[in-house]
Amino acid sequence: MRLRGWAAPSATVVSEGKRRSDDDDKKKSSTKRRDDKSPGPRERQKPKPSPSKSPRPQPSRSATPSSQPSATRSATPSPTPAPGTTGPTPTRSSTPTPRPTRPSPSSDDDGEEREYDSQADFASHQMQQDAPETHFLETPQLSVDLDLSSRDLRFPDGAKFKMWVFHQDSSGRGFPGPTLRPTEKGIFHARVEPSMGPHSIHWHGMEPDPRNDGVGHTSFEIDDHYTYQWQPEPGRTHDPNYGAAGTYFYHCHVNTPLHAQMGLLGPLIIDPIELPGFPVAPGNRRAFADGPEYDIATESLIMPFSIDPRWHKMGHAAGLSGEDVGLNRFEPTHFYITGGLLAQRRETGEEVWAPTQLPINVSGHGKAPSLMRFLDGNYLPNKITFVNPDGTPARIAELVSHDGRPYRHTATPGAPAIPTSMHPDPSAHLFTHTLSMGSAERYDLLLHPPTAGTYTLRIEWRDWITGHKLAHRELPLLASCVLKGPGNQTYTRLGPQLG
Amino acid sequence: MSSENTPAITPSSVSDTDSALHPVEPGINRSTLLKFGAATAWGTAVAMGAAVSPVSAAGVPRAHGRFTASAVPLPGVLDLYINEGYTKMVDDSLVYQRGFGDRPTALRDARPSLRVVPKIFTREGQVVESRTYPLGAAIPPNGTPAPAGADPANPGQFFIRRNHWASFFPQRTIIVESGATVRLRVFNGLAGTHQLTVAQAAHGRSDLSTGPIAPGGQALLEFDAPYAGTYIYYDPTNAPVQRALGLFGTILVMDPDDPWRVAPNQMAFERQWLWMTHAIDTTWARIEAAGGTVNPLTDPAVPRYFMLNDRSGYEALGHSPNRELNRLAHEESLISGYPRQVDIRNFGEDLALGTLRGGQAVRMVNPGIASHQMHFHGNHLWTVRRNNVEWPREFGHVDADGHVVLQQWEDVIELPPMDRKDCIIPLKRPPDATDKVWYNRTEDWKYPMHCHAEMSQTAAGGMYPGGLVAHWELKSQVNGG
Repeated sequence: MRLRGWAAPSATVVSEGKRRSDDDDKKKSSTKRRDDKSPGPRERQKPKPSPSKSPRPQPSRSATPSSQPSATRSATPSPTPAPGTTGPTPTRSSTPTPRPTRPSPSSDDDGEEREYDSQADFASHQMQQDAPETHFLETPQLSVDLDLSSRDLRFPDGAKFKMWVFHQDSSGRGFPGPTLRPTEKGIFHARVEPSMGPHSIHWHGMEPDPRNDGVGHTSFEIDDHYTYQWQPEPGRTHDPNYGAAGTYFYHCHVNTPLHAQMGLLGPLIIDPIELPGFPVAPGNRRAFADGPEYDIATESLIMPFSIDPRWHKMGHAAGLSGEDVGLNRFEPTHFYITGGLLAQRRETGEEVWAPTQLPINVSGHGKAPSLMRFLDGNYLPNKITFVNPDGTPARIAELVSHDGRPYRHTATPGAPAIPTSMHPDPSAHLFTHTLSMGSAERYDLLLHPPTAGTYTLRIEWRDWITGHKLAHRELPLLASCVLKGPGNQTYTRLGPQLG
Repeated sequence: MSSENTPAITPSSVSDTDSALHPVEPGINRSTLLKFGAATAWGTAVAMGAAVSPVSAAGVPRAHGRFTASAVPLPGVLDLYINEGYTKMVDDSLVYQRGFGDRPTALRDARPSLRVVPKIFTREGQVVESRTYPLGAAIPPNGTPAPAGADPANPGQFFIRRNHWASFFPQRTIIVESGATVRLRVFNGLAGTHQLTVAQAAHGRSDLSTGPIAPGGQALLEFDAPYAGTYIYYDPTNAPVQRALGLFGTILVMDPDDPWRVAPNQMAFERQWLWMTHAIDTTWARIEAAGGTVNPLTDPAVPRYFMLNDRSGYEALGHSPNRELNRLAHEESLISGYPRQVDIRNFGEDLALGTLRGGQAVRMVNPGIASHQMHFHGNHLWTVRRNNVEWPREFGHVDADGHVVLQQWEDVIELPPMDRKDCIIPLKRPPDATDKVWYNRTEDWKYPMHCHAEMSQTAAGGMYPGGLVAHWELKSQVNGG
């Protein structure tokens, strides 16, 4: 009974997937994009009669793809960049009156005021625009081009899955997408030209204006191209209200359950500006502007990811027209630890970035500690545990940041908000051997193994309904005091690998 | 806490037609219903009795003690009726649900009473029906509190009124003022045994409960207001099945002397929002509707609809053709306000007389069965408490489960089943927008909130974004700026 509705739509869906697989070749073809643009190839057919007795929702009128309305907002605001003149008039009681609930019919503000006939109508009309304009474009400090490809990628256990991946011209076609690493205060541009029909990029945790936030129903999906622009807020010394440095990720926000599982995501790390009084030793970086230093050579990104093979046979717009494609059922059978040393990442070829082991620095031997940036990259809760070489819980992880914001002491108004990781009182530091989190959360951890040896990072996946353990994977952490680089022979004295 | 019949109730046996009309299939789409002349979403269920085919449902046992009339009300007592009925999902299908309602209704009732209209137990011993609290406070138009005026030092930002605006609350809310006594009289109009439990509301964080209430029976539960915060009331029978079928709600305890704070001496706020999440498994609903009993181990839940305050998808976002529904979404769920300068070291600062440098409180409550990950675009939230336990602002720790206990910024709020989190959304200038874009803002900025356990973003297996979603909106002044 629970499989009802899946089999029927999948047939059309698979063929579409095939059609899309050679996206790279179509890249510069203008006709291609027309074709790929909705409503054409998105599955707009009426939902097929269900074999089951249970009546299914009919998306009524929406099943007819209307070519109407991407309410294209005028992309020319009055370009008066002077702050002083454009802010609210600071006169007497310039209390703004709330906007009317019902706008004038001419309003095309973000699509907000548009009403939809049905959920299927709403789902299949997500404000696609060909080439929306970037407002107030500035000169970027970092600029990247991103496109998409479909590839059959081999995972560490040998299984192969069709993946959709973000890539740059210069990079390979691997998973996850290229690591993007802007610095606070610098203008960041990402020109996105999706070859495979409408997509978008949401910079998860970064907080720009809605046009640059990358969500269809609050701005637009990109048919042809768009240049996202934002500027990571710089940190200020001991101020808990400012600063973007930390760990993020980016992902497509179109039909998100499917597109993110298909692989359309990548690491995004914001590096801090350098503040007076917080110099950085050679070979080190700070986790955030007034935060602790870490060793660049052993900085890692670790992302649990799991795959439900059934999902990897669907097409771009599966489910949007109201057909039941079972995207409420995520039943992964393959569980992976992806990521690795950031400094060692090769973004070439068609490979899945995954570690087999990870070097980390032993605490207090002249090197700054290793920083692990942990991201729950799948849809399930993860519980992680650090284990000593003798199998006991290892309280070696110090949490310094969460979701791109440092942990700080904030008890006293107006007083400096000291980061827990910089506090002179050791009991302020957030040490742990275990950490629980759910989808899309990030934690930055400094690792402080007291002695050399092979520690273990154990990652468990939990069911999102029952909480029952579904799987676990282990990653050996090779702690050494004389680490110089990858493949260093000194690893061999550290004992047998686990897992 | 006794179960007994009272003369005030008029029990009636179920008529033949009543049981004969019991629908086996929960899915009845709206277009079918429209043929029967129901024009609005609220009115669709009117036609249900006629639309439902009288299939072979005879023999399904219904309650023989069903109440056909409300009991004579008692002063200071809130009557809750355990009812069943069909509710419309976002794809217009009808799904069998149960709930604690305001009045007795029958299964095929066009508008089954499955959730109470918000009630307030006052310290003076009254039960008052009101969608807003504090009583007598100014009602925010369309849910949006208007500011006190422009903040001259911070272009594009505003001063916020302190202790001024009322908040709207969703159905299922019972507000209890500190010092009040809660008296609930619960009537079980269903065929099975049910009960009402208030989780962690007794001393020592133990549960309070009516105990089992037989079909046709009733029970009285009386207790003093617990510590300020959110408490889930629900039916623990065959957990989590009865809860998943809709037998839940939230008790919110507020200090009437200081009702603009999350808790005494805690964060002040401009207004607050109560969000209840719920995931609906139609297979479970079908089994129980047919008189069966779900075994959650052998028939694990696969939810198909995901609700925020009993709405999902375009209805939760206020984009539906039903203006009344959209208005309720704006008043109760869709956070909105004017941007303000805040310092999270002090969310209560009196910047000028009668103003506040604070945000709005978001109280997230998950009586549902899925583990949710509430992701806010546009602003990080500042989490202040979990399950009514204040998090410290210094010298935090990581608890045995691996959760950080320290007030912190988060863009994803973890909300497992039965958990409650109190957070502040600062409604600040989105920090990573460029100056030029911010200073030339001419329109409201709208940001999504959604659960990042992405299965919850679907309805009926697809139709993204059709599930547990909301917006929050940074209003702009009307005339330019």
